[in-house]
Parts: sequence; structure tokens; C-alpha cells
Amino acid sequence: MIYSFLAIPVLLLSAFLIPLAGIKKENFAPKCALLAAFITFVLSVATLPAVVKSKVLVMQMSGWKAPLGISIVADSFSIILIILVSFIGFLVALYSQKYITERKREYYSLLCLALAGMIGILHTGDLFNMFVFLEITSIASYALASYYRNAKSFEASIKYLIIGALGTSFFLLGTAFLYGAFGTLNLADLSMAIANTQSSVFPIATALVLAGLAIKTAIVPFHAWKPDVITSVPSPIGALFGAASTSVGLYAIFRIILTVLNLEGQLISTVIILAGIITMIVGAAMALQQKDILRLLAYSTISQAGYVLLAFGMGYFSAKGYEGAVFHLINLAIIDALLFFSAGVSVKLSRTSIMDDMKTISNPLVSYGFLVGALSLAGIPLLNGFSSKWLIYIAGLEVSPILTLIAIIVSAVTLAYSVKAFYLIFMKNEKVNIKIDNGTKFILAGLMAISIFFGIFPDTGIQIADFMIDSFDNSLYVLKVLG
Amino acid sequence: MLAYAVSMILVLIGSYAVLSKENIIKKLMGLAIFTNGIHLFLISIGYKSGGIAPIFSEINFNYLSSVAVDPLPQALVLTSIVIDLSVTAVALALAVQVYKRFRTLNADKIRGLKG
Repeated sequence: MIYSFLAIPVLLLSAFLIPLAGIKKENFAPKCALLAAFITFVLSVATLPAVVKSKVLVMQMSGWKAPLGISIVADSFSIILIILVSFIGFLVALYSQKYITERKREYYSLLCLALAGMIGILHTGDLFNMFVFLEITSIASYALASYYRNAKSFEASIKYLIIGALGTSFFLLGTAFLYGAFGTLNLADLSMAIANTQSSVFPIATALVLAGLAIKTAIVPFHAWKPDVITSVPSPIGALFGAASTSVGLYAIFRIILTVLNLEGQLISTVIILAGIITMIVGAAMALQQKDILRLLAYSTISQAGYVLLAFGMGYFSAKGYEGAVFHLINLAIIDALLFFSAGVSVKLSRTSIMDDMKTISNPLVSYGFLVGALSLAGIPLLNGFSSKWLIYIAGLEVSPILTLIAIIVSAVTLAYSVKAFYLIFMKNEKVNIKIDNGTKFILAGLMAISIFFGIFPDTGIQIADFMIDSFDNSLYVLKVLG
Repeated sequence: MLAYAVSMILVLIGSYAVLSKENIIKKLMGLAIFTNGIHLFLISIGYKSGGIAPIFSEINFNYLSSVAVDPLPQALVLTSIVIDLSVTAVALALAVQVYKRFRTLNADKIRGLKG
């Protein structure tokens, strides 16, 4: 039994109940969503011991054997990301309690729906099922993007919808090609079929599936929707899109490349390294010229996702690459959440996200939270961003020193724009003395503690990364799912 | 073979409309054509000329699997149609709101967000 899979029915049920039961009671929606997100987090942590013990947990829906039925899988790679995403989801729900003051029912219902889709993508062992969960997350995200109901948010939302629907359509078309060529959709079975049979449509199917996922993950050149969307949503949803969606999208890309398509090889690694470098450079260069803090954070998320891709591509040549990739994937989510939550306090207070006009709070927790996030993002030692970037630099030296050089230069640019943002918001602008609620304090202190912990004790993080990398070799996965 | 060709032509027409038309409604129609092309493609993968309905009963399983059409693509297409319906519903609702705010549906003129 995979406990964390039960989170999906819980979240879907609360997404269904909130609009109905919340009509009479104003406070039902936030409490219900918070409870559902907390249950999700508890369930995913409760699954961890079983995964540590037996490496790959498999559950077949309604007792049908693997290629026929739908498999639900939790292995070491996915379970850590499930814990991470449900943790971020819980923090988002907690942070929203005070942040969201109107139209609570639709907001929390959509939040639960988006979270359910993300947990589903991380759990599923079936390509079409992944498409369905992808669409659940996407539709909830399109609606969340238009939450503020002003011209800006509708524009961002319709743009996101058209680009996103094109992306999921590409994914579906690729899935159809794979089914036509190999006659199965189960990830493990598909992996076997691809290893054993030659097919001429394989390259185009691969290209379509990966392009679809790249659009959803916002990898340059498919990134244009992300800054628009993040600028026009409430900050907690910015954290959800920035931290959780990016991790889930990258997970799907890694899962498809490693487990399903068996694509490991020089060509694909080089392509991924190039995509990573372009994403890093474009993201950082665009972030440098932003006046809007949310837009800056959106571009910085894109840029950091580029680091993960670069490290992942280097993994084929050097063992440190994969370690760096998954460790940075975790750190990226934590840092992004910290930045969005601490910047969100000021955005909410000053009702604008243009850095020059923002007001700030005199409470040091908020400004230190942003400072820790900003420095960690740039890879300053003793913070978690440094630990994973160090692995990436080392891996780069083993592959080609130019990659390390580019990574360090982009880090320097990151330092420039994140310190600029910190200075403009927290040092230059007027300070207002307003109390912040305990939930926000808890979130900021907790994320800062995690960030500093992984910075001072990088070994713990590297152990987690090694544990996740165990499942990059797909033989056990295939054996367990089909066996 | 004809069905494959037609479905790919539909996919191409759909992606052309999404990428090059300016009007948002035309883009959404392009998306619908795109998805329907994929649906036709999926159905034609499972199609068997003269095949029977894939209903599991007293008939020998091996015999059934040789004469019946493949049921999986049909299930996929049904699911996908429902998803497509909800995406289209959200999209049209957003298009109405965009028209109310901007008084135009021309995607090139809706440019509040830049950079």
C-alpha cells in the first residue's frame, strides 16, 4: 500500500467539498484546504520508511496486472519529490490563510486540485495517466492565474492557456505515437518494448513528449508564459508555480528520459547541457533588467531550472552531475519558496510589485528571509544553494571547464540581481511597522532553517541526493512494476 | 493509411492556426482541430477493418483479440475529449473576460505584460 497515493483522493475530495460546504461558512475553505495539505504531507512522510526498505513500491489499480492495469509507483526519486511538493503545498495553504481575503472558495478549491495533479504526476506509472494529471494541474493553474480578475491576470491566463494547451497536446501526440509504435503505455513495459524493438517514429515521439514537458516546465525557448503568469498571481501561488511546478516538470522530464526512453547517451546529454546553459543565461540576463520583483523571481526560477538541466546533462559524463542535479532540484524549491513568501509580505502590504515603489515591513524575519534566499540563490557558502552549486562546478570541471566557468559567471549575475532586489525592497524603501501572523513567521523561520542546515551540513543533502539517484537505474523499477 | 494522413493534416492545420492566427477565438479553434487530429490518429491506431466490438464474454480470448478492435485508444480518446471540453470551456470563459477588458480579441494588441 502506498499511503501517499491516498493524498490524491483526499485532495480531490476537498477540492469538491470546498465550493459546496464553504457557501455558508466563510472559514471552511481555508481550514479544509490546510487540513488536506497537511494530511498529504503526513501521508507522504509516512510512505518514506517503506520506500527506504524496498526501494520501489508498486500498487496496481483494482488488481489488474501491470501492462493492463494502471500502476502507481513510488521509488526513491519520486518519494522525496512527493514529500517536497506536499511540504511546499502545505506551506502555500498556511501562508494563504491570511494572504487571501476574497473568493476563498474558488482559490482553495483550485489550490487543492493543482496539488492533487502534481502529486499524481509524481506517482503515476503510466504515460497517459501522466497526461491526465498534467491536464488537471494545468486547468487548475489556468484558472488560478486569473484569480485577481483584472486585465493583467486575464491576459496572462489566456496566454498561459494557449501555450500550455499546445504543450499538453504535443505530449498527447507523442504518447499516441509511442502507443502506435510499441503497443503499451505503462512506463516500465514501454521501457522494455523500446529496448527490444526498433521503430522509425521513436525520434519524433521523443521530441514531441519532451517538447510538451519543456513547455510546461518553462525551459527556454518555451518560457515566455511563466513571468507573465507569476506577475499576475498572488504570491503563494507564485511560490507554488515557481517551486513546486518546476520540480514536478523537471521530474517528469528526468523520468521520461531515464526510465522510459532509455535515452542516456552522448547526444541527448549534450542537447540537455546546451538547453540548460541557454536557460541559465537567458533567465539570468532577463532577471537582471526587471523592475518588478515577481517577474525577477520568475526569471530567476527559470535560470535555476537551467542549472538543474545542465547538471543532469553532465550526469552521463560524471557521477557528480546527477547528485548536483537532484540536490539543486530540492534546494531550488526551498529557496524559491522562501523568496516568494518573504517578498509576498511586502507585495501584499504595498499592493504593487514594482521594486522602487514597494513598502517594507520592519520585522527582521522578512528581510532576513529574503536575504538568506537571495544569497543562497547566488551560491554563497554556508547556504544550501552553495552546496548543490559546488557539486555542479565540480562536475563541470570533470566534463569541461568552460561549463564551470559559465555556471560561475551566471552565479555572479544571480548575485547581482538578487542583491539589487534586496537593496531596492528592504533597504531603500520606507519601513512600516506591522505585525505579521504566526503562520508566516513559522514558514519563513522554517525555510531559513532548512536552507542554513543544508548549507552547513551538505553531507545530509548529498546522502538524500544519492538515495534519489539510486532509482535513476531503471532495471529494478521495470522488474518491480512488471513482476 | 488515409486516416493517418488526414489526422496529421488536421494536426498541422491546428498548429498553424494556433501559431499564426491573431484572433484568440481562431487560436482556440486551432487548438480544437489539433486535439481532434490527435483523437482521429489514436482511434485509427486501434482500428481494424471489419473488427468487432471488444466485449469480453464467452468467446475464446485469443480469437477475440485477433478480430476485435483495440479498446485502449477508445478509452484514451473518451478521456481526452472530456479534458479537451473542460480546457475549451475555461478558454472561452477567459476569452470573454479578455474581450470585456481589452475590447479586442486580437492577440497582438493585447500587450499589457512585457519583458
